[in-house]
Amino acid sequence: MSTKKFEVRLNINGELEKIAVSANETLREVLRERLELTGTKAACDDGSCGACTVLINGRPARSCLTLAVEAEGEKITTIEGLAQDNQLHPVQQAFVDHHAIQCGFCSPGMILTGLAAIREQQAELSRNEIREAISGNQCRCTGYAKIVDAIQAASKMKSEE
Amino acid sequence: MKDYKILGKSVARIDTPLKATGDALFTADIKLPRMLVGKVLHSPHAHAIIKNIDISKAEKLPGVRAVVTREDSFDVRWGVFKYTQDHQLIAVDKVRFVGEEVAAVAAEDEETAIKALDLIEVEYEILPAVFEADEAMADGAPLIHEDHPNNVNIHVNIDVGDVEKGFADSDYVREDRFSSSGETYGMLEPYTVIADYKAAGALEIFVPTASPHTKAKALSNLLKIPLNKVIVRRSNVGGALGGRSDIFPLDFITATLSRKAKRPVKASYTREESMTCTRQVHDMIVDVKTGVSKTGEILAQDIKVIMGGGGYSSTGPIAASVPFLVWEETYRLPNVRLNSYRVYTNKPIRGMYRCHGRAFLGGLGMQLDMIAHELGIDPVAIRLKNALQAGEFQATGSKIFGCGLSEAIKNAAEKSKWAKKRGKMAPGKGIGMGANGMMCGFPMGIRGGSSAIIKFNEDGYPTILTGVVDNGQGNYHAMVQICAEVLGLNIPDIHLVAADTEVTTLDMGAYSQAAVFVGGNAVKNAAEDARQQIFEIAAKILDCNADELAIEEGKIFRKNDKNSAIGLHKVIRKGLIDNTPVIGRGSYMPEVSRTREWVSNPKGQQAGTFSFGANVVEVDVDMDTGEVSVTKATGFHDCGFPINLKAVEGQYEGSIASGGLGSSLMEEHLWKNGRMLNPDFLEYKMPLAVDMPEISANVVITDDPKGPFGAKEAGLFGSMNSFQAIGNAVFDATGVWVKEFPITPDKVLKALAEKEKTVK
Amino acid sequence: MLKLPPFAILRPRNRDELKSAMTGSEDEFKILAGGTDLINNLKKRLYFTTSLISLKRVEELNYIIYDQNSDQLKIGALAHLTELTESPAIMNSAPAIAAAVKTIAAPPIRNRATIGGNLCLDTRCYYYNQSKSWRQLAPTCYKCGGGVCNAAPGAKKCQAVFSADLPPLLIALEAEITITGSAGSRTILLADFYTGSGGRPNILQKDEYLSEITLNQARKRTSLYRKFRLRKALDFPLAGVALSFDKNSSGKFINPKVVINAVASGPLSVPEAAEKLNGKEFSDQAAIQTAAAAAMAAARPIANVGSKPFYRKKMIGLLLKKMAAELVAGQEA
Repeated sequence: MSTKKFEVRLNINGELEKIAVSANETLREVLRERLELTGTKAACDDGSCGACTVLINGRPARSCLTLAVEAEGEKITTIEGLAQDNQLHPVQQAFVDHHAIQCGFCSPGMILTGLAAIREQQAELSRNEIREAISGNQCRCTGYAKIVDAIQAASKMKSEE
Repeated sequence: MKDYKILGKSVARIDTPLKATGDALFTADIKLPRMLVGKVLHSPHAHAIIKNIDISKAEKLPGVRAVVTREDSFDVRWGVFKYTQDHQLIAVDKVRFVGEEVAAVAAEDEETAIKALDLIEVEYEILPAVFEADEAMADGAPLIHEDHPNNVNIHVNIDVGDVEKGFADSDYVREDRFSSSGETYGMLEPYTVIADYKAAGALEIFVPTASPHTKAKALSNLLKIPLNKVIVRRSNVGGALGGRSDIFPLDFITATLSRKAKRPVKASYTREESMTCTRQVHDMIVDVKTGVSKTGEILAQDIKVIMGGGGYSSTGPIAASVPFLVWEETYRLPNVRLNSYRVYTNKPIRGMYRCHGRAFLGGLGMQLDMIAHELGIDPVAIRLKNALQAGEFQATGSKIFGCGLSEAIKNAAEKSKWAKKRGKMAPGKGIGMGANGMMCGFPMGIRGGSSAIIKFNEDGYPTILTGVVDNGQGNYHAMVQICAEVLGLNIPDIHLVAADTEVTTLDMGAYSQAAVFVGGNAVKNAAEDARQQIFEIAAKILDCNADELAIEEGKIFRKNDKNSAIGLHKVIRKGLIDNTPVIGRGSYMPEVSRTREWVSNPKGQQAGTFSFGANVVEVDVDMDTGEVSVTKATGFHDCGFPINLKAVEGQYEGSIASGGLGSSLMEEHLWKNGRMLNPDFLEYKMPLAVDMPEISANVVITDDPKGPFGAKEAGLFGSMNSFQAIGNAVFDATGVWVKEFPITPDKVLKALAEKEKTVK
Repeated sequence: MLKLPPFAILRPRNRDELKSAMTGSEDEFKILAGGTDLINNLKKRLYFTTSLISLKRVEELNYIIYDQNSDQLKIGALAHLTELTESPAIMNSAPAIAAAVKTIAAPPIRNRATIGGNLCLDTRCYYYNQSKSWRQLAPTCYKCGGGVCNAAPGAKKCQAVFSADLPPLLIALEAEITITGSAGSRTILLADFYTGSGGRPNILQKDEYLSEITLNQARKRTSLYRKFRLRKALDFPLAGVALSFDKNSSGKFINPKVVINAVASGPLSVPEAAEKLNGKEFSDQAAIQTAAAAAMAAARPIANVGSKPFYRKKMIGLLLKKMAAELVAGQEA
């Protein structure tokens, strides 16, 4: 059986990371353990929780169900890639302002999922559209209420731009 | 609401920007130099004698640095109480549930550690096992701990007034049985421990814990290290829900691996291990007989509870008591008897949960509605009739101080348009209410109090040291807000060091709803102490008396002359040069009975104060399929005074997910021969965003006389009474009672079919 | 957290390379498309495989084409589920597919998962979809190569549940699939793809892969799919019903098909139920009642996934009734 390593170039948060990975390493493992981008969380083991969500070409995806070798050539955004010049991204700021964060373990995945929905929106998102967008991200603290508030506020801001 | 500069408003929390950027470190995110990977071998049997463990092959595997087994058990037993010390944190003579920790390895990498586990040979002699609590209590059941007949781990007996006479005096008496299956805490963060046993004999440990000082005490006892050498570090806690307070085998095992390997070790549980090898939530059977007057006044109650406790005690005496205590904190119970049995079973260990006792509190709250229905009384009216008031005493003797229970019930009814809806909605639509009181802190002896220190740097900015823990509910921010309010500073001026046993003083942590009430009082006292010292030093500079001074925006001035202002940093510097450095010191010990004990003496003041709340839930039941959707929740919470309004709201909203839809409608463990069939987040059903209703979260302000700035517990009212609110709403919608939690569609459909049969 | 076992990965760039990768490999291999099911199953050590062959670079397999003239809809196996919900070709021809896709998992999973993967989804069981150490606590079951069923002791074969949402709908739409192998391609009815066996749910051979899904008369039929699950997202079906009939404005079921789901080891066509509906009005309660009874009679749920078998069986009938009620409501609207 081959335990060959692949030299891959991963485009993460706009920077090319050259790294040798084995076929059986997930993107989550490479992000967390090799590149020390620990904002991407590991929680469920079966893709059901969404804590490990990253954006792949702008769309939310499970980094635990994505092999790192398969992510080559894709544009990957992790939670560390949002804030610029020490300024929170507007979606991050909305999560802070609206108390959408309690324990914080689901927050990176939730913020990225919300951001992707906002980027694709045609008009301001309704509360039900937001619930649908984040239906694959589990949160045990907030009852999702203030998460929906935060995404809605950010969506409104975007639609008024 | 009183107008404060910092308090009582919704302000963004200090801890959340780092959580938003991914920079906040949780235990699994931390790496120490030369850190090894720890892995645990679990028992495959529910009940078995360990005959032999052979680790020789595992030890020889290259890359393995330590193997621990019962040989490393220190021959100590852990128990939260002296009389519940029944748990050896690595199995010694026998295993009592599938998943119990039998051996562990530390290796250079995870693959090697997993390989090494496969090389450990354990010889078992399988014993008959028993899984259900009522079966475990029956005569002749296999004994799980030989010294506990009928597997009764804890029996709490409370007998107040004259119960028989109360029934005799009653106009209406009914008996019901309610039950609930086991549940999962469901905090997202998997359990992870990093232990670094240092050559100097100190243990440094990073762990998601709600109670670092308790963890330190346990490890000190178990590993026989002085308490000041057990350093439990603060890392962010990815949710607790009551399940991060106890001591777990992985704490002890990781520390022991580190001691043996002389290297730091990180052990992370998988989701399956997290769900089966830390703590689970009790299953429960509740039989309750209640007698009332024809006006609905509760005259007598006789309650028998059987809780499935799993293999060991954990917080058994507390778990066996709390549902009853919450009930007596809510209603006047002149004659009441409780026989609560926590029973050992061959299932994983059960602990305290944020929504502990759904069969009890859901059941008794539903029975109250059944009684109201039979007597033709409105459920709101029967609650108001029996609701405790400020100044009254609970059944076991606790005095109620501030109390907004009746106001919360009335407000929730009014805001939800109860009178227009109850009994008047279209078939399949219904509305129901729940209400409860909640203790702000358990009687915990020396662990029941808190102390805090506030130190200042020469630039005038303070640092708070407190043992309070934030699991996500906003406790850290509350401490900073309280300090800022007292010292006339702004939130960014203040630094907080919390929950680090090397530097913070004893505190129970985020346990038993005490953080803001007890820890907040300690911080407030420390800030007031610092302010007094500041005024005394400033009085010398400003040539006046200390009591003539005020502090605002980092400046101290004479109240009658704002132009006299001097900067706080000048005062701090003068204190330093004069050898009178400002160090604020404060503490708080709630006024509770010193003789009250969970089992041997359950009477006397149990908590320093109590919070209250009422919750109205509306449901939509599909009468064909029995599927229940929650469409609206309206809650009013007497939290005394909201230090941070949105944080208080968030607690209720979260409880509508966990205690509401989750506990009431969806969540249940499924078992086969002691193996959990759904140990994951796909098959264990926690509510998703699309399942959630719109929620209206509101407060009742009572300015609690004991709380810091009038504040008390905020969070457990929705989680403790949504079961009854939803069960009652389902009745309003369908005319049937479902007495087994969770109220899944198959049960609703069965109940509807039975009703149809009786009608025919 | 669970780790993947070691394996090699082959990354062909086109169908030719894919073919040589598949025929050239002596080892056990698995085809990797979106990975949302496969990666999980590998973490749980459900399969032994020495290599994965990734379809990701075989972009020729990702297309959705609708030809208005021939009314033919062709979907490449690698089309992502999200793409199905956004495709004008599907909205113009068989929008029920998009609606059914939206009941699968959740948006982030649909972003990666593919239609081919959904059609080839493995069957599921509480006693099978568990970690390796969990499964070792019980005797080795049929699906893992042993001789017992842990969910239904006494059963003669594997009882794992068919849990993919698209096959029942596509079968009701008489979809064909193309299977490509070393010996060339063959096109069969999707209905014939499934074995009904929990152990091996479809007929794919080792050197074959599913390459295309075709609807030959995409607009000819009205179709619906409804499923029961305990949460409003994320969950696999615990019962499902697909219904199709010739498009018409008469308010009648013409040439109906009923396919039930998640109550056996394969999607089940129930012609007995369809017969009862044929030519009947949407509002014909008696016909619907007898059809529902026939559909229920065909369901064989056992206690190996969520909810209760009696209830899942009941839901088959109820879902069919709900669909009829929706059709009536749609007429009135």
